[in-house]
Amino acid sequence: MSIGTVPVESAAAIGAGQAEVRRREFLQDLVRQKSFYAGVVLLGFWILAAIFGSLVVKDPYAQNLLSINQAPSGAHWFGTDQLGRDMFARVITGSRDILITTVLATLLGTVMGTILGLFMGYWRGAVDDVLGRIVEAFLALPLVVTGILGVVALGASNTTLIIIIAIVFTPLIARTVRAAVLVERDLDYVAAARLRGESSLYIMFAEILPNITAPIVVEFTVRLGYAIFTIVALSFLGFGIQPPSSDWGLDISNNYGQLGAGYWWEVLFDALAIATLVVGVNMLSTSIESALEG
Amino acid sequence: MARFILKRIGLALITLWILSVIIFFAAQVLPGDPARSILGPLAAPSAVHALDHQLGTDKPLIQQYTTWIGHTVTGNFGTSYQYQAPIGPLLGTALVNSLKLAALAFILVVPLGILGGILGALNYGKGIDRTISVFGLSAATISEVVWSTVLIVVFGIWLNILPIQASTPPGAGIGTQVYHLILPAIPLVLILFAYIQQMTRAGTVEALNSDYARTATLKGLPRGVMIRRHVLRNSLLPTITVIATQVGYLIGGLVIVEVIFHYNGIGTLLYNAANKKDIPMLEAGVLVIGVIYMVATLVADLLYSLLNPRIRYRGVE
Repeated sequence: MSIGTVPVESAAAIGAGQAEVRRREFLQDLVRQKSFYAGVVLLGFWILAAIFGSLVVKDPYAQNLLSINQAPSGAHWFGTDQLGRDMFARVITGSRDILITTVLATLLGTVMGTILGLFMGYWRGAVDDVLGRIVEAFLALPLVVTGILGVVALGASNTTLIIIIAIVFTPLIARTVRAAVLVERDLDYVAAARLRGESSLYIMFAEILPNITAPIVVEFTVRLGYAIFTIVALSFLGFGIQPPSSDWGLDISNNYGQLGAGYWWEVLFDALAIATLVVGVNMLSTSIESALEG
Repeated sequence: MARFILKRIGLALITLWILSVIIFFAAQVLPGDPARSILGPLAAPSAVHALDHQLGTDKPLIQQYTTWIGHTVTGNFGTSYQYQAPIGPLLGTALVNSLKLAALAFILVVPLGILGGILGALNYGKGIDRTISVFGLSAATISEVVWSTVLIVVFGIWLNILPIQASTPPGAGIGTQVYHLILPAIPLVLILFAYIQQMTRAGTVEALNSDYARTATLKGLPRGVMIRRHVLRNSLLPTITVIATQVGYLIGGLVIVEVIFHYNGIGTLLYNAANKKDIPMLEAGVLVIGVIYMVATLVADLLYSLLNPRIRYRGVE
């Protein structure tokens, strides 16, 4: 073995070992936190409900005009709505659409934001300045207002919902990724890759990207909460998930007009379902964030 | 200082211009033919052409944009499709109503947030600090839809002590108006509380750990006097900025709260405009929201630099 190869091999070995240690430390930190388990239980419950809920409960779409607006009872645990549909079945199956749109929208926004952030941070200059201004313009509008504008432009549907949220998230995530890239781009391994003659694309995606996964993962989990927030708001306004879905925000929107007559069960259980999902996601994202930083 | 202010205003104007292009593109270009969407799919093509001509939507896009932005800058927001009336006065009424609701929310949340922040900082890391933080952060992330619904059910229906309609008959006294706005204001308070509380807490913790606070303690000042004279004067500075930046969240919250409580403000106006495809109204409403947000952020920045000598002098350099 020539002397020259020794440091290279050992450096690689040390690198792999470090990654392994980091991963183990992260997992140890994660399982030590109570909020991680609470988050897993809450989110896990709604994921199971989304997948298997329709097998367990009654038909959430079955109308029964002979038993409309019934208060909670043994037959209908959460009562019935104005079309006589079983509210318990609707609440349990209501997690499906919001979970799917939340995950897809956040994923799309994270991918686009990461790509944009890599370019902004690595190339800087005019591209960075112009994109920065556009980001500022988007940030001048509350998410819900951007959503309303987007729905007018593209029409209300789940796809529109995913696209709008992804578009709003893209600049936000790009900003975080850009900041992380600015730190990395001056480090030795990037200079080494440049001296080896690697292309900009290779350096961005194969060298820098693996080293900035931590902030991207944190952004992704934090954005999940915001996505739920926005989807609930837009669905409530009638611009999000469309009927006859048993979505929670949509159900509240359909039934809150009935509150004057005292039919509280048609909205309260949906509201509590949203609250538990949001709290679960936030507990999970907080525990992941502190494990990555700790 | 003057250069600093001019630069900030210049950047704000550029951002506003980009925003106006985004709004114009989203509301006027993407949805397709406005006359067709007003008249419906069964209208005769000639009628659609005539209305398009009347609305000016058959002209080239650049011309449409310059006409729109030119009118808007001079305060002419155009005519609402749904009401067939000038947009300016409608928008003005809605803004005044929203301002009432927002003012009530701020009057409640600012003292609460500052108090909660100081309490948290003085008990840093203890049970009471953690309780306030966890409560505030959970409250902020749970949607206004949820809060409004729960509040209506509990206070409006089960206890039946507060009205669930925010609107009052015309000519109602200020007492009645406030009474009707209490329930809608609470979701806004819950959404805004955490950020103000956390910023006050962070500022106060920093000031408590500073050298001047230690000097004040060591020279024998009573703790109460030390906190009032030395800590709070410094720690409340970042809070002022934060309060102004919360305007964006506030408007987002207003949309939901106004719709759910049947209140005729800027949120309901946007909601109706989007539902009725009232494009000029929607454009004007969204642009005004953008302007309000930019002005609030600008004022916060300027206020912060005026109050903070370190930034004031750096601005001169």
